[in-house]
Amino acid sequence: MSFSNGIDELSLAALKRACRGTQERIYRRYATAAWTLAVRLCGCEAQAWDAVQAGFLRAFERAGQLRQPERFGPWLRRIIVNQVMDLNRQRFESVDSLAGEPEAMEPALSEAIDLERALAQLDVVDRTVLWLHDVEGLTHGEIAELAGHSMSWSKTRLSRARARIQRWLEAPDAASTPTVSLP
Amino acid sequence: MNERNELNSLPEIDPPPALWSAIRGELDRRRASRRNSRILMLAVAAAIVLALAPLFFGQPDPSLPGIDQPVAAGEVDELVKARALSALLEAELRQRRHGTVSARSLESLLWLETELAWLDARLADQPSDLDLWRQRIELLSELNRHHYSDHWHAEVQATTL
Repeated sequence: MSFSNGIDELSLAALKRACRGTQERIYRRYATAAWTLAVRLCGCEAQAWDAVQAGFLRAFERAGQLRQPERFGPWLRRIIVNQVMDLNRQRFESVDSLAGEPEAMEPALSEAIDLERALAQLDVVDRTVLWLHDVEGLTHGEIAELAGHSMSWSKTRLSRARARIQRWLEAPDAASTPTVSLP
Repeated sequence: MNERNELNSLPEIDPPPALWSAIRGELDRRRASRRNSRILMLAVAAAIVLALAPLFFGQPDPSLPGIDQPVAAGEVDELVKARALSALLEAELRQRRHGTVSARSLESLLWLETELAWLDARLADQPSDLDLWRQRIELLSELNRHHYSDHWHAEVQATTL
């Protein structure tokens, strides 16, 4: 079940009454999509756990604010993305990090580096922008609004993320070699 | 760039099975916390009302412990004891209410809680009616027994699983 699907009116009404059975049913319905999104954005399961748990708690407690049940999926996705951004708020707020290098460049392994591994090498901000745009289908305007930046920031981040992932896929050894300043 | 399509083809990942338990546990904890806050607010409000009542209705005559029923000296002691015991049982019940309740006991508990509410309404009019206080003690004891029994069954089930 992806985020593009919503729920029916009865389910939303039950969520507003904090019906535990409905909460569990809704969780089971969106759990895989939510977990996949959080793991892809965070790059680690520990942080994804926090984001998904806090996201569902917030969604269940604020279900009263949702008017259109068919918007539940996109609404939940937005909440989880916000949780991920909150966990990495410092990085998202920093404008200087645009000039920075990827933070998690590990030494390359001899085996082939797949796309999943390449994605994991990206900075959390680049990874989030790339995933939200290319997989979740968010516009630059939506990403910019979520991150609290301009559309040009989102575009710059996306093109940088794509360039880095491309570079990684073409030459993982070169891309992964950290810059070492000799004495 | 064709990574866009490739990113879309990355497999979905199933969440850890324990994640729902963690979410449910947190929901339960928050619900209990909200309920306790409401009870505390009600208790504070009730205490304020009781404290201010003499200002509006005048001091009661100490020789008349009840509103409409004169109570004998020996009965006053009984009344104090009954009220103290009732308060103790009520405090115990507050603790036990946080535990699990089986579906089997739910109907009896609801009936007992309704009886208790009805009795409390009568006690509000007749606070010195010793018989009503005794009934209240019996009801509270019965409620505690039910909660204790459910908790015990739940523990036995948990240890045998």
